[in-house]
Parts: sequence; C-alpha cells; structure tokens
Amino acid sequence: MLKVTNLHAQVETNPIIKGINFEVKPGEVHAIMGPNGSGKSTFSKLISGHPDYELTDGSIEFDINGKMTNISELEASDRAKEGIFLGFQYPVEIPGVTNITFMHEAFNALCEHQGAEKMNESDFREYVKSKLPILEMNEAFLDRAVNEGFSGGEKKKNEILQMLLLNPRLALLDETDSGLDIDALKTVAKGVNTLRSKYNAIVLVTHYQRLLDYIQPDFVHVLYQGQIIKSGDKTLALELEEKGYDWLTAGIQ
Amino acid sequence: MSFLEKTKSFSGYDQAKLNSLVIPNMKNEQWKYTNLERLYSTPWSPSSSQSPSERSKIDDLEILKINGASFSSEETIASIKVRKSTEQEIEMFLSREHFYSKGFLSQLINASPTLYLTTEQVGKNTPVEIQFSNSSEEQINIVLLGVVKDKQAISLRFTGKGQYHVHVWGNLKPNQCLEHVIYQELDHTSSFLFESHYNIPRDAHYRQILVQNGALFSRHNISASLTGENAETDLHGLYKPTEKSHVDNSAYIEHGASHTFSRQVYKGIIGDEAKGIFAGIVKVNKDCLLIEAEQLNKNLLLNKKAQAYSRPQMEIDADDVKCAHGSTIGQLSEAELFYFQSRGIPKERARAMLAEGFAMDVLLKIDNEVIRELTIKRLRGLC
Ligand SMILES: Nc1ncnc2c1ncn2[C@@H]1O[C@H](COP(=O)(O)OP(=O)(O)O)[C@@H](O)[C@H]1O
Ligand SMILES: [Mg+2]
Repeated sequence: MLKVTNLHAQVETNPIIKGINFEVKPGEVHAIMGPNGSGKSTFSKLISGHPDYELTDGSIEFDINGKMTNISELEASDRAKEGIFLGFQYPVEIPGVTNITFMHEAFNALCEHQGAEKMNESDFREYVKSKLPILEMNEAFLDRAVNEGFSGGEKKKNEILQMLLLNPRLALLDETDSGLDIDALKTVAKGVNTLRSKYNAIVLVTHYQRLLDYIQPDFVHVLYQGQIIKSGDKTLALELEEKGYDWLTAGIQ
Repeated sequence: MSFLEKTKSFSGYDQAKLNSLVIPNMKNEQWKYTNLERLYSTPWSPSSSQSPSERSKIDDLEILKINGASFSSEETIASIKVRKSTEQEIEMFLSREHFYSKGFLSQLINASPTLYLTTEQVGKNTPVEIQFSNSSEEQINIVLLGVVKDKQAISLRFTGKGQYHVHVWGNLKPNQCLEHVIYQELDHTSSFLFESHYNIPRDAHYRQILVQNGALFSRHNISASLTGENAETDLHGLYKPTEKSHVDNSAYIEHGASHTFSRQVYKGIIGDEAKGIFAGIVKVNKDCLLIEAEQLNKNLLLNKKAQAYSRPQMEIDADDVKCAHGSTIGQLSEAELFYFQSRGIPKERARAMLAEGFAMDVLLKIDNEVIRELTIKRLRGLC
C-alpha cells in the first residue's frame, strides 16, 4: 500500500534523506530503528506531508482506491484523509481547543471525504468514550485543551486514541515509546495492537527494542544517515539490542 | 432654555476648560498610533433616526434594540429599566474631573445632540441586552450610565454603521457587581470611539469584556479607579481587525486602596493589513498594601502586512504588590497547523480553529453564562 522509491529530501539546502527504498503491504508491521539524528522523524514526516521538507528525487506512492498513486504533491490533510496517520514524537499543545472538539473535527473531515454522514457531538462523545478504557484514559481528558499540561505518557496515549478513532490504513508512530514507564508502555502497545489487522499497516519508529517486545514487527530496518543500511526480521532488533549500532555503522561515513 | 444652555448652569461645569480641549493628535504620547484628525476632517451629520425601539429575545436573553439616537422615555426589559437620564445624573457626569482631564469626546458630546440613558437594575439579576443600531452614515452620541442594585449583567451590542461616540460611565456602591459585555460589530465604513470609566469602592466589582469585531476605525479609552478595600475589576478585550481597519486600546487602572485587585487580558487577532494597538497603565498609589494586578496583551498576526503594537506598563509607588504583566506578538505556529493537517483538517479550517482557540480565552472570562454562550456563538458566526 506504500511504496517509497529512491527518496531524497532536504531542509533548506541540507540533504537529510539520501535514497530510501521502502515498501509496506497491508497487514504488515515494520520497525524503523537507528541512532538519534538518522532521519527517522524526517522520513515519517515526509510520508505524511510535512511542508518543511523538500523532496529532491524519488517518489512516494500510496494505494488510493486500489491504485498506487504518487502522493508527493498531496497536502498533509489530504494524505490523512486517504488513511495515513502520524503519531508524533513530540505532540504539540493547542491551548483553547478542547481535545473532543479537535478529534470531532478530524473525524468529520474523514466522514465527509468518505461520503459518510457526519457524526453529531453527543454520538461522537459516546464513540470516543468507548475507546477510552483501551488506553486507560478517563473522560476528563476530552474536555481539556489538546495536550495542554498532559504528561509525556498522557500525550502519547492521546496520540494512540486519535489513531483508534480515525482507524488509518497506515499508521506511522514516531517514538511512541519514548518517555513512557513500563505500565504506560504496555497500555500504549495494547492500543496499537487493537489497530492491527490484515487491512492496516503499522510503521513503528523507535530507537529502543523495548516496544518491540509488546508489538511484534514483521520487518526491522536500520536507518542511518538518511539511508536504510540493513533490513531483516524481528531478530535484527534483538541483535541491535545486544550489540548496539556500531557494528553496522562502523564502515559508513 | 435648551438642554445645551442648561448644562452650562451645572455646578462644576467649566466652559473654559472644555473650550481648551482639542482633538488629540499624534504628537501626544497616548495617541501616537492613532490619527483622529483624519476622522474629523470631514463633518458628520447627527443622527436623525425617529424609529421606535424594538424588543426581541434570543435564547434566554431579552433584547432592547434602540434605533439611531431616538428613545421615547422609558422601557423595562427583564430586570432593567432603561430610561432617559435625570438632570442630576447628567450633571454628575459632566462635572466630573475625568471628563475634562482625559475625555476627548467631551467637545463632541457637548456640541451635538446626545442620548443620555440610564440602565437601572429594578429586579433580580437576569441578563439583558441593549442593542444600538443605526442604518445610515451619521454621528451618534450616547452616554450610558449604569445604576445597580446588587448584581447585574448587561450586554451592549453595536450594529449597523455610522460614527459612534459612546461613554459608559458610573459609580458603583459598596458590594455591587456590574458586568458589561460590549460587542461591536459595525460595518467596515464605521468608526467607534468609546470611553468607559468606573469608580469601584469597597467590596464592589466591575467587569467589562469588550469584543471588537467590526468598524474601520476604533479607539477605546478604558479606565477604572479602585477606591476601597476589596475592590476588584476585570477588564478584558478581544479585537479582530481585518482589511485596513485600525483598533487602538488604551487602558488606565488606578489602585487607590489596599487589598484591591485588577485583571486585564487583551487579545488581538489581526488580519490582512489591519493594525491593533494596546497601551495600558496600571498605577498603584503610595501606601497601598496587598495589591494584585495582572495585565497581559497577546497578539496574533494572521498576515505579513498585519501590525500590532503593545505597551503594557506598571507605575508602582508601593511595596507589597503582586504584579504580572507582559505582551506577545506572534503568528500561528507551523507546528500547530501541521498537527491539525496531519489529522485531516485542512489548513484554512486549522487556522480558523487556532484563532478561535486563542480568542476563547477572553470569551470564557464572561461571567454571565447566557451572555457568554451567545457571544461565543456570535463570534463563530452562528447567530
Ligand atoms: N526542520 C529541520 N531543519 C533543519 N534540520 C533538520 C530539520 N529536521 C531535521 N533536521 C536534521 O535532520 C537530521 C535528522 O533528524 P531527525 O529526522 O529528527 O532524526 P531522528 O528522528 O532519527 O532522530 C538531524 O541532523 C536534524 O538536525
Ligand atoms: Mg526522531
């Protein structure tokens, strides 16, 4: 459903992504690992359409209505409506906009795009409430401003909650495990596993293998200096846990 | 004897002083951003409207609509009697020191017909709205005096067009609480010159939330004197100039007694080529203890050509003072916009939601729930 070919991208004149080939099929779970500063966040933002990054070569194709379509010119909001979700490494705080209003707006934008009827406020609240227990969140979170004053763990749970509400075909989760204690990590993993099905695909971006104990990936890739330098199955993650990244990156400059 | 002649016999009326007042110009520090001379270079004709007042109701709010500068004599809506002011009340207003020292509207008010109205609380606090409306490009002078029994909330709404000169003025008595929510939505040819002053004695509370969502040119002089222990004031404002409009806010708060409180949050959402200005002074007099004062001004620029000027100031001659003041001028954050977009919300809608979130902070300060909900709906364009 996603095919990235020879992707090159830069910020201002700084090349950050230097030739990535990457393919995801429905039902798959991929993990992208790599040291800090490798380009993992940049890669996931590029796929979701962040305007800061300039695509200089290559293409991003995504399955739209059964047809692989080049989406690199598509606005972020349109990509989201086609089913691409980005879970942020650092979710921003939005003062003055309540969580429920924000989610409702996003949900209805999706309904409209899919030609479905929009949901009214009270039905939507019931729908959201049905998802809260999965993430061990209480209803009070819905009426607070988006992420404002949330702890690190609460922000990440809030990202996963949004993911479950929007039910994306492709979820890119950037460092969803960072800053979580073990209980929160298990809760978040439970939320992610709820999405898992033969129709949805998940890309986990992480630099620890810890999360992968709870969400088993089918493929593991190592991103370093803007390139995928190794791919394998889940045993690669264990190997990285044991040996670190140096044995892979030693020869590269 | 005409009313104008009669005013001259009022004690405290000072013709010489009044004559010496001129329309302020930009050389005056307080007026350096706002050129009034431009506004007065062409003469305006006074309002000639003869239409009677109308009544209506939205949700639980009873509304009295006053057309132009005509008002019969007396109307009672909800808990408020609206009547022409008495000579005594007018005398008190015209002879106050403040009228001469800072009032730039004085001359105009003195020279042209002016509608003097008093809102008098006669029942239990039920919120009401007085709507001032005008359908032609005329000049309208209104002096609005408020008499409160214990606690009252009043929405004042300005619609239509013309050149409005408005004074909102009063002396509260101890333990009284008055809330004015002022919503200005004049059309884009209009001007709105507004002054308000309240004296707030012991245990009294004056609240004012001013929303400016229209007019080409507006200037607000807002002042309050806290004169007794436990006196409080909340003066907040939201201004949303667009196109080439100009909004200038000037606030002055004087803490003249111990244990007094003032809070001000003014927020500007400035679009297109508009200009928004805030200058505020909080003065704490000597020997006043346990003062708390907050003065914040935040501006959101929606366009590269939009401009904001901000000058919050504190003049403190006392020691035991807890003060917070500050100002910000910024644009919508790209990170926040992208967060919305990544959830499928288009950029234009994201901008509107972020701006509304920014504004909500001020609207949520409206204490009366009925007026608060209605004001939020109006700002969203829902009614
Ligand atoms: N908006 C940006 N402006 C400038 N440099 C950036 C920007 N985004 C990322 N970079 C740079 O790109 C590199 C990769 O960053 P990032 O994608 O955040 O890495 P990772 O997520 O793997 O830690 C870093 O050197 C970072 O400083
Ligand atoms: Mg990162």
